[in-house]
Amino acid sequence: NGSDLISQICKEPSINQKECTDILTAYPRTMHANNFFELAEAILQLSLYKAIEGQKFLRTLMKTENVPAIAQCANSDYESVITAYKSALSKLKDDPKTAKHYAIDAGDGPVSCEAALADTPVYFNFEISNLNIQMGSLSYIATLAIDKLII
Amino acid sequence: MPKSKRNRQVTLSKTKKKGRDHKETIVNGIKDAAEKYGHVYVFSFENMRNQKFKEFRDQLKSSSRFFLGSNKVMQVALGRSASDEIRPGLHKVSKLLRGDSGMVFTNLSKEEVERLFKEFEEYDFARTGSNATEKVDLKEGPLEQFTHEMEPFLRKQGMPVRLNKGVVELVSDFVVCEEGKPLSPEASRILRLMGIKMATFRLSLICRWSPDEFELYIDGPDESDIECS
Repeated sequence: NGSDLISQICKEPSINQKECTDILTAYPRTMHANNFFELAEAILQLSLYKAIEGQKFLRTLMKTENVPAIAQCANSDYESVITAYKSALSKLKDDPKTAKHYAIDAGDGPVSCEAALADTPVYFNFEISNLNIQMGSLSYIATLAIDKLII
Repeated sequence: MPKSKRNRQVTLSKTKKKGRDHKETIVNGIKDAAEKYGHVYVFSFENMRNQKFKEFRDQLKSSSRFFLGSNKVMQVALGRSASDEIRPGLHKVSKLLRGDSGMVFTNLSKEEVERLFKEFEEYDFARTGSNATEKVDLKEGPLEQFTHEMEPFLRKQGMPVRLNKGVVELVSDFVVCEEGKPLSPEASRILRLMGIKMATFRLSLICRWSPDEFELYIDGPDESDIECS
């Protein structure tokens, strides 16, 4: 069942097991997955949803914060994340190896965003950093799940 | 009589591309390329960066065509044995398409291709899960590269930090990563913020095919192994 599948993903030594489990078990579709393909698909869908919502949040923030880095995050970094997850989903069934590459790529967006913010003098937004952390974790979790399809 | 909605035609351009169609597109593309170009190279890749790869591919698009994706589909397209290969000797290429690899059909000279691949190297920040190439440790004391607003974020990454008169301070020595060990998400973030790049995206040639010649660039399998494998 989904819970067993999730535990197999979240037990990887380089991952924060609690964080991974908390993220995945909060999404009903991952809990109902019957195999690794369904789980990987659900994780990618969750990641895409989170990326879209994250971009909305950033764009709202752009209106009140005059910080160029936020514009980069919203219009470039998270746009590329969304595109990457859509591509990953489209490739998952027929070409999981390529889907994995797209999922990996998706993790670069939040890191790039974080770096841009770090380069902004005297500005730090914890909400954005938390978003980036979660999106980065989701990318890695997605790659772990897709790996199960490639083996 | 009203027109039946059940009997309406659906144009092919609006139909959803299915797995078989997608594979056939790739297979047909490879067959077309095999007719159009005079040479085929198999290459392997490490630390793939899709955007960088696209730039490299675009650089060569006037003279070359790249295929990267399902090894099995590429193998089928080329032919897996002498009896079904699409051009004489291409089954040898097919046998070497494994792991993280792709192929490029080209009309560039051998020397030019070798130079381009040899020169191609892109450094980037390492991703979570990849192995650290060196140990990175931070000594107790002020961390002047970080602003005070970042202190909560750094603490969330597991760093033992505090603010001391507005300066982020490490209260004890901290090991970000160990050489050879997989990077945690936290470590990869810290390395990014520190500007430390540990990943080298590179492409390595494995073999070259032309109508009258086959060449291996790697040690290991010899031609007899490729013939009978």
